Amino acid sequence: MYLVTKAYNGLIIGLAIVAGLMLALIFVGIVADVAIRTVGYNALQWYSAIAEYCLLFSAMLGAPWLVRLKGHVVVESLTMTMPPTMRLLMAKFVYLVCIVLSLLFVWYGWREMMISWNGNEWDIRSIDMPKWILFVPFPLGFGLTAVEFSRYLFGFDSYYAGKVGESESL
Amino acid sequence: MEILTEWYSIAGFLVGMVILFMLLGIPVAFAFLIANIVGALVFMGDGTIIGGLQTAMPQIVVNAVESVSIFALIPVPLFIIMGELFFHTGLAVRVFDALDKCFGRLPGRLSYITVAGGTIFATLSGSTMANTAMMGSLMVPEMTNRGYKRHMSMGPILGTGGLAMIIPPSALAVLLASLAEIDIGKLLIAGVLPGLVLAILYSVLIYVQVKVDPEAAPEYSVSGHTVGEMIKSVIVNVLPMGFVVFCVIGLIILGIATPTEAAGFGALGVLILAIVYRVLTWDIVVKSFAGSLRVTAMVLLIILASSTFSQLLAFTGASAGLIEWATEVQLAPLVMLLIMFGVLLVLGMFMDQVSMMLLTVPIFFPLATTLQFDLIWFGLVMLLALEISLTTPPFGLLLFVMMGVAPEGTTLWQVAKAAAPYIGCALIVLVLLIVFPGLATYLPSLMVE
Repeated sequence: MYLVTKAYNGLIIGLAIVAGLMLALIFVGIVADVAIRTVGYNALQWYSAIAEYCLLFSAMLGAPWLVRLKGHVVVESLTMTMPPTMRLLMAKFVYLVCIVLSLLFVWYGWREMMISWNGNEWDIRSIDMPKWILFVPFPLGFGLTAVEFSRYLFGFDSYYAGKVGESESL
Repeated sequence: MEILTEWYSIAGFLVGMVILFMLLGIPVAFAFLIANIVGALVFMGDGTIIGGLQTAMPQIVVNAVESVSIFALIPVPLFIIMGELFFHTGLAVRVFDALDKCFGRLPGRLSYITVAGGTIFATLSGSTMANTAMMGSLMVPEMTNRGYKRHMSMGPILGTGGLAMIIPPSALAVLLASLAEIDIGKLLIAGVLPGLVLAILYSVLIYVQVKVDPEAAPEYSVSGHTVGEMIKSVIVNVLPMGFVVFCVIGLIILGIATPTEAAGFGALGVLILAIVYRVLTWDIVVKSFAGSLRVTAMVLLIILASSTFSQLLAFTGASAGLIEWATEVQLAPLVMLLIMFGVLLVLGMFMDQVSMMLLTVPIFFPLATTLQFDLIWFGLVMLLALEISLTTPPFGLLLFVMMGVAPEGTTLWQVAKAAAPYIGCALIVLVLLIVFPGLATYLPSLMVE
């Protein structure tokens, strides 16, 4: 069990690291693209498509890690006024809703991926990519998000800070 | 659903669902997801849950994929990386130290330093929350030690914290322009003059407050600095920041770089400065990218989750109905503008800025087009409303950021009271924008295409 937990934690952190590296790739890529154009060579044709894919992948691969960090924005103004038992029940209900929603996206994300795979569909951007790649992060990201929320559902830790204004934003 | 036939009942149902789910404590991204699914089941399905899901879900998944894999959103993570690097490397503290040397024995000097430092931060960081937390933790303890009253210490921080939303680089402005499908570069540049006017108004306010009550910001002995020392400090610690500001604002105005390229060069500029100052470490790079991922993923997931919302409003006829109503009632455009402004302020009392935008942009921008508003100007007015709503009680996010760094025993009411005159300044800028729209549209008109 210990090894499974360790491997699972490694997976969540590992995916977050990949997501962070994708942000770094977006950053390095844009600078390289402009630098290459400035010295007279052709622009990196693949860059815009890869950067767009990186945005999607960084959000989805970082999603389970975000749940672990309690990084999703939540509004606690109403739930805070509830009595503790009611608040706990409400929190468990919310985790359940998030798990069901995540599993729906796992299923339909997988389905769309298989439809694109079987139909040999292509995503036409600055470079053409097999369309199924776009749907890969859905079953993976939402699947692990469901697992993370189930840790709150069946465990003792709470997703909620217990005070308003704890959420981050821009 | 017999009752859901009129545009207002449909719009109320859809918007109400999102707000209700948020209030129940469902994470914002998931509140949008469930509202989209329920909305699609009600309006697009065949009456059965399974049938409705089979029809709606593939579309929701495809919309989600397409909503965040777009090039227009690239500046969002880049501006966030820029701000994270700026704060983690300690470059922000250098700016404050330099300003501290320059302000001499001016009454209320720490409040002025906050406004000046906050305005410089706003040109270097795209995150309001990070700016406020940074200034709060730096300046509040110092001002408390010097006997500054709460409204003189917390007010300027709350006011200038919000400037990051208006003055470029602003991740929120990029998001707004991308959602509303308006020129990102123009909206970014449109914020420069109103942002500076707001900073000047804040300084005037501090001057008046110190004049009325000199005890609110007691004078204290400041170690003297020669003019040479001041100039040297500014040249070493503040002037190089101008290079980063030029990378973002200058390159966009001159038409040399797109907003995305400018964002990349802004982040590179901060990185170069950190290397030059020898403050860049591997640990700081990791921290900065982890912080950037956290905020970027959170924002992108909300966008991804809400992607079907605007389509539902359009598909059900709610958007068209609202526009038809707005045309028929013949309310003055100014009244409509104030209504929209008011709605944003109310939403801001309990909602974060990204959610507010995603909820209102699909409704407000078609309306603004019908009312023949300049959309860049309207975008800026919306940003101003978002900025104000950050400090409106009971749940304005900045109030709570400030509570986290304020001296023990500070109440929310005291923080809100300190912010009130600064909200007044923002409202003056709103009036100025209405009377002189050029304040927002002049700089964008100079931009080289």
